[in-house]
Amino acid sequence: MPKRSDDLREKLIGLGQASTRKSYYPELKERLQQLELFRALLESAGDGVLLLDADTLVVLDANGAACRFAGLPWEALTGRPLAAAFPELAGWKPRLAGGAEDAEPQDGPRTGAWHMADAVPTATGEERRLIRQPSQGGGLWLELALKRHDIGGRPYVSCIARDVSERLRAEEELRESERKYRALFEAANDAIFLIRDGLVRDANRRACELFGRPLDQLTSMAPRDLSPPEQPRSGDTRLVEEMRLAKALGGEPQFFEWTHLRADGAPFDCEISLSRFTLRGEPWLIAIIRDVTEQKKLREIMVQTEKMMSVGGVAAGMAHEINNPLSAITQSAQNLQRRLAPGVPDNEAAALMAGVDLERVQHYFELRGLAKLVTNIREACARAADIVRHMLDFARRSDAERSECDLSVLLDRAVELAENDYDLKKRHDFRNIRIIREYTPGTPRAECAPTEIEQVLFNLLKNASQAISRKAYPQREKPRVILRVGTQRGVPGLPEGAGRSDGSGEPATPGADADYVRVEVEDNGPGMDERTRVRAFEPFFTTKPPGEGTGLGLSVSYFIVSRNHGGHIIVESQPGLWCRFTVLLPAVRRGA
Amino acid sequence: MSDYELRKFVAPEFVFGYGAAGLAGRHARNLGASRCLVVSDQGVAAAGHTEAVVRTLRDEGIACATFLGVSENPRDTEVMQGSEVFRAEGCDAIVAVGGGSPMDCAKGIGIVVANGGHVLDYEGVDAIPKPMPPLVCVPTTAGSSADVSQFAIIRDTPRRVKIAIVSKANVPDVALVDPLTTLTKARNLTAATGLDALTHAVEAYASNAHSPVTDMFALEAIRGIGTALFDVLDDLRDRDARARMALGSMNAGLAFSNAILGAVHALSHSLGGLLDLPHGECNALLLPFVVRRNFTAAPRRYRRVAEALGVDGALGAGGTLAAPDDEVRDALFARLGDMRRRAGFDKGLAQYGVTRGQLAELARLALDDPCLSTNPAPLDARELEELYAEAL
Ligand SMILES: [Fe+2]
Repeated sequence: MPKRSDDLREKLIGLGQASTRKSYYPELKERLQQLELFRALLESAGDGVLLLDADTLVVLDANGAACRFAGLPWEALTGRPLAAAFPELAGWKPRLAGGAEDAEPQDGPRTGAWHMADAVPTATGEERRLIRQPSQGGGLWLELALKRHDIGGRPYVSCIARDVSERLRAEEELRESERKYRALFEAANDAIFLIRDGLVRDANRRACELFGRPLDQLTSMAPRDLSPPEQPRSGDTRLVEEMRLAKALGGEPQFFEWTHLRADGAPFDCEISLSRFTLRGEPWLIAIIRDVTEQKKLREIMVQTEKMMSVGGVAAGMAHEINNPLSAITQSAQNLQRRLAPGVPDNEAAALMAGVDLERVQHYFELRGLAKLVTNIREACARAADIVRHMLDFARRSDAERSECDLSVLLDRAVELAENDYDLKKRHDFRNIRIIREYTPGTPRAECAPTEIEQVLFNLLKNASQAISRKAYPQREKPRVILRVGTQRGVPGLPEGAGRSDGSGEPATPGADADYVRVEVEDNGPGMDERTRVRAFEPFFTTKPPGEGTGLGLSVSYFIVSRNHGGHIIVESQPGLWCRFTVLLPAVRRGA
Repeated sequence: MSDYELRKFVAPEFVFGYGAAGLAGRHARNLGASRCLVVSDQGVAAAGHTEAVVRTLRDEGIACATFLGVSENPRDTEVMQGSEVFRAEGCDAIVAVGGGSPMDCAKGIGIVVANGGHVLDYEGVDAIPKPMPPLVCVPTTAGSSADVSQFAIIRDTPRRVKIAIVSKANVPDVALVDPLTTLTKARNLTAATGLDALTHAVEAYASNAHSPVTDMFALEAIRGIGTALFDVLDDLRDRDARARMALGSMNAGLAFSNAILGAVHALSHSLGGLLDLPHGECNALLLPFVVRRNFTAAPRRYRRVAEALGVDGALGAGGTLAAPDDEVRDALFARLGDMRRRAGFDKGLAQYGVTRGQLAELARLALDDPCLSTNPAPLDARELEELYAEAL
């Protein structure tokens, strides 16, 4: 028989290679292997996977991650309700819907737990829930995704538990970082703009304060809308702005001075630093705007101090040198007078020896007015000595007694002095000036030498009175002086430790945030032009006609305040309208 | 009782013939095995059959673990040990090589690995919930017919009884009946297993659960064994005689697996369980007494048995009765006794160490045996005890 039919016969009678009665076992084994593989996959999954009975939510199966999350071995986890694994779910029912056929509530026991809940099923029939799961490590955040399945006609619910602690932590860190940078942004003492496409897109609180505008106003404006058309130093605002923005966008950080406008139109000087950064792929600019008005003021104070110290030194040196010859002149004039006086035995004896009659010599003197000349010499010497003494004071620390003083009391006393001052009465009666007092109640005391500060305040009142006397007031305006007493926190723009104004090496302020008592004397006289204002405290600088005062009053005041008291004295003016002197003296700290 | 009542016939896929054992690997592979537990015993392994089967398995790329810890009446403890080996070795199929003992033990192992628990939990009929892994049987004894039957007989060691686990789930997937494997069998074992097979055929034929199909196998088995057994005993190397014996045994197995047995096996199981006596020899001893006792309950059946064993006048021409019942009964009783003695067994129960005092206990245990329910005559404990007494 041919081979082929041999094979066929073998097969037909059941003796072929593959002739074994049908068995599902190999196929089943393959499927079991697939299941085992799938099981291994599930076991290795980082997510917890649980299979639940749909009606009771009893755990039928769970993978390793689920057991880990639940903190229970598989044997303890299975056969118990889901809430045994996740205690937060106690009493909770998922709002799950089955397939389309289950959308309508059914009769009978197969309707399942999800129908009992007041559930609105999601489109996918899936419900998600975030729970806090206690664990040894202090707790996990788990996101549960429950979904209904019908397998072999039985309803099941699958529950995937994902550990989202890390994700939540990262999100929280991001929020925290955002809060941190927002705080930095908002707490900055400089105004900050975030600029894109030439417009302000965000601004911090300080920017709103500085520009006097609410945020929503700022965020629709270009920097040039907040500036005068011309920049005092650099010219056309629009052109300069364009150039600066372009350069900064080109990656070249810009730092420059600028004049901005407040909402009320008042200009202020600032320094701007402009640099580029990238946000979501878009180029942005960050503008840090520092108001340098106070800084300028401070710089002025420093320059002033420097100048005053050197001038004061020179003046004191000169005074010291002049003092000796002046004493000699004074003494000589005095001796001259005494040696001419009759009735003095030495004079009588000398006259007798010289053979002259002392009476006649006296007579000659009178005829020639010599006695008057000597008196003039003595009077001139006295005046010079007075100046010299002031000049010496510039370089000498006072040893006047100090106490804690209420400056409003000292100010009132100075006003009283001024009202009764002969000199002042003579020329311009102080009592014709309207005094307006703006004293802030509760102002702390300042430690000072009351006599010295009284003198300073008197000088300022005198200065005001003299200024007023030089102004021709229009009909409706009356001479007036405003006196203010209040407190001030720190010296504007003065950095910590920079308040040393006397060169003594001791800090003028115990700290940058030291409180000062502020006393202002503001007149509505002719005011000072800038040239005059910056020199106002220089010795011998005066705008008064010669002979009308020594020009030392303000200098003396300056040294008393700054050197003797560690305070500040500042003059500001709007020419033609007003002039204001401000004295700042360190306040006595409450409770200190 | 009608011949056309509902009947089921369960048999494994089987290959009969010279060299059938060599097909073990192929069939195991076709059944999806990748790692087999080969269950056998020391005697079979010593004869080289175990190794031969293992080789066919390895040739098919199937890994093997061998379990040889089976004794003559397989014990529950051995089953449990075997199932441990199965699990530990990660096996997915069982190949039994040997006589009734390794095959029954293999069935027990299969039951335990599929269902868990203890093998004794599954005692009784149809008490196995889950089918076992693929089971291939390579019988080497031509006697027990466990390779085709739904029976597994396990010795309950603490209770000292043999329990029967009867279930369609016990039928192997494939039986590879190779007469050549029986060539090495010793004379005594050949005789004992041969008489066991004869008992199977006689009990199945007389069973109250017989059917036309089982009758066919039973009668053919009685006829075949009746001549083949003594041909084999005359020349143990006679291949064809061995083959006829193997075929007879298989036919008997197919018959009794479906028609079930009777009082002989009930009594014999009791002896095996309580006293660990050899199954075949006990059957051979008890068969004549039980037949004599049962005869009147099914005389036409026993006449046919007698006829198949060559008893003259058992059946007349055209079905007429040639001789009276009691004559035929006595002739059959004598013939069965002769066959036993010719096969080399002449001891009574007493000579096996059974005492009269044990008979009541043996009878009580036999009464519980499932095989008793298909005995053509209903027997009570007293009658069973009498049968033991007759065989004493
Ligand atoms: Fe048997």
